[in-house]
Amino acid sequence: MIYVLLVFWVTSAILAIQARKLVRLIVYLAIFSTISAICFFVLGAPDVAMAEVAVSSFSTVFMIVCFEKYFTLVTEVTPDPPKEKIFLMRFRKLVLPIAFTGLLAVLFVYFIPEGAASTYLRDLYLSRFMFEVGGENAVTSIYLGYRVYDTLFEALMLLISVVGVAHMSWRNESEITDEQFAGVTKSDAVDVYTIRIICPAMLIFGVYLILNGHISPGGGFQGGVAVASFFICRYLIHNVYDVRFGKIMIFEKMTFAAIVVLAAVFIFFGFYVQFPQFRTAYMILMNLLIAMKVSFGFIIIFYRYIAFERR
Amino acid sequence: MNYEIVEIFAVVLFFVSLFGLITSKGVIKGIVSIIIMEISVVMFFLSLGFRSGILPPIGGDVGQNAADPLPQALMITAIIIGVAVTAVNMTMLIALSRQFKTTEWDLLKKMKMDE
Amino acid sequence: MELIGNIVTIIGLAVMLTGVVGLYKFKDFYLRLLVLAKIDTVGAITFMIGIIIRHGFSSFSLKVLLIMVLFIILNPLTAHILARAAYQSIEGITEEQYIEGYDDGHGGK
Repeated sequence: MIYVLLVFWVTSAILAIQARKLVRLIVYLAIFSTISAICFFVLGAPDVAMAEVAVSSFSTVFMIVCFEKYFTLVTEVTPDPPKEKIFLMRFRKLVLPIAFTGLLAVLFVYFIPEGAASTYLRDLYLSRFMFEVGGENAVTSIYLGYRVYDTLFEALMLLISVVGVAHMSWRNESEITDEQFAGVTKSDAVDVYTIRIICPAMLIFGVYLILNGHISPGGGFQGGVAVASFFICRYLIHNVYDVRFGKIMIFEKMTFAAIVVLAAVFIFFGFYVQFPQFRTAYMILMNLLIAMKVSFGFIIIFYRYIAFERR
Repeated sequence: MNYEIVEIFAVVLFFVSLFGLITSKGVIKGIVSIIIMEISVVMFFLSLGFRSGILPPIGGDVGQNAADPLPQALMITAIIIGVAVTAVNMTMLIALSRQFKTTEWDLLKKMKMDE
Repeated sequence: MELIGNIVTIIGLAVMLTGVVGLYKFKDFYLRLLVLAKIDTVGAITFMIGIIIRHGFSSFSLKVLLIMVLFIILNPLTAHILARAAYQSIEGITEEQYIEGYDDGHGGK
């Protein structure tokens, strides 16, 4: 079954790479992300599949918003060359990239180690994570216990990218007036009432993912993205921009500091060994903080795009 | 050579998207190629040690059928970082098109030479 | 019970198949949207009802029921949004806008 899925996967990716129209590119990318999420699930990784689905929907929204702005800005393009010259140009421009890519592929195939992957770490983690870290989901136990450095630096990376997005948007004021929203299409009554029915379900689902992250698939990242989508729905209902940027960014930085402090106190000072009864509390709290961090980051990016990059 | 088919697919897609990145005429195709490249890397990591009848590593009684939890824990962070990188790329695309009115490599190079 | 469930599932799959054929048959956007709504509502919901009948009353079928409720609420919404956006899309992203470097001189900007 996975092989059929993989054929569709590669096909949609190649279609997305060679697409000439922007609408098709976005649609092919969405199909590609969905199929890859199904493949991750078949490969035995439901956590990664959830993260991929949530994140791909967000990146589709980012792309639509950005490309809408892009077409209002870009005016200079080179026209296609005449038909008899296309073949020669393509020949010249294709030989070198094909040679380079083929060389890299050959080097990769030559240097990759043969034989099956080592199962030492897998067996070690699977046999000991329930006693050493706690929880029943091995993935959550690894990224909150054994490999907490990865989580810390991932949170730092997200913080830096949010700061980058806020810095590179076209104006640095943190407020926006109502006139800049005058041209935006309003949602109509059907949208608003249906989204009002759906909204609480999304929030409950996100909180469920966060709080059950240590015993079932899910966790801080996926739940955070689900909670952030609740705030997108809030924008769709009200069509107003009343988010205070400065406060949310300060909250995000404080959440990051809290993550660092909590991990340092629990992991590095050895409280983990001394108080085994607090392990579950630590995992739930850490998932909650990570979810707050991720959802703050996504809310900032989304509102920044909607407010400053759309019109 | 003892390669799984999933790994071969992932490697092939990685090099196809690398080819797309090299031959892209503008920034948008570059961004899309980078997204696809990242997901193919994720697929390669997850497919290490894949066999049929594999189970998610949740609960204590899965035993030998469990998937490897370590690449999964690494790849969740990789996916979140990937969407953050995509957001920064999009912002740079808009800033570039606002300043130069174009996002093609050739025209941008020409403008830089003119300055 | 299992036979009835299988029959209902196959009916749902057949509706989906006719919908896919219709997607390729129609060229107009609104007709395609009509067919899409048929696939999403009639096909998928019949399919899920078949699965529920097959499994009997358990926690699994309760989850499927929850997904079905979400489908019933969300599918008309997506069809409505698509139709409204198509009706209003005089500006914004259209099919005529090409990617950078692939302009044929008159389409797009």
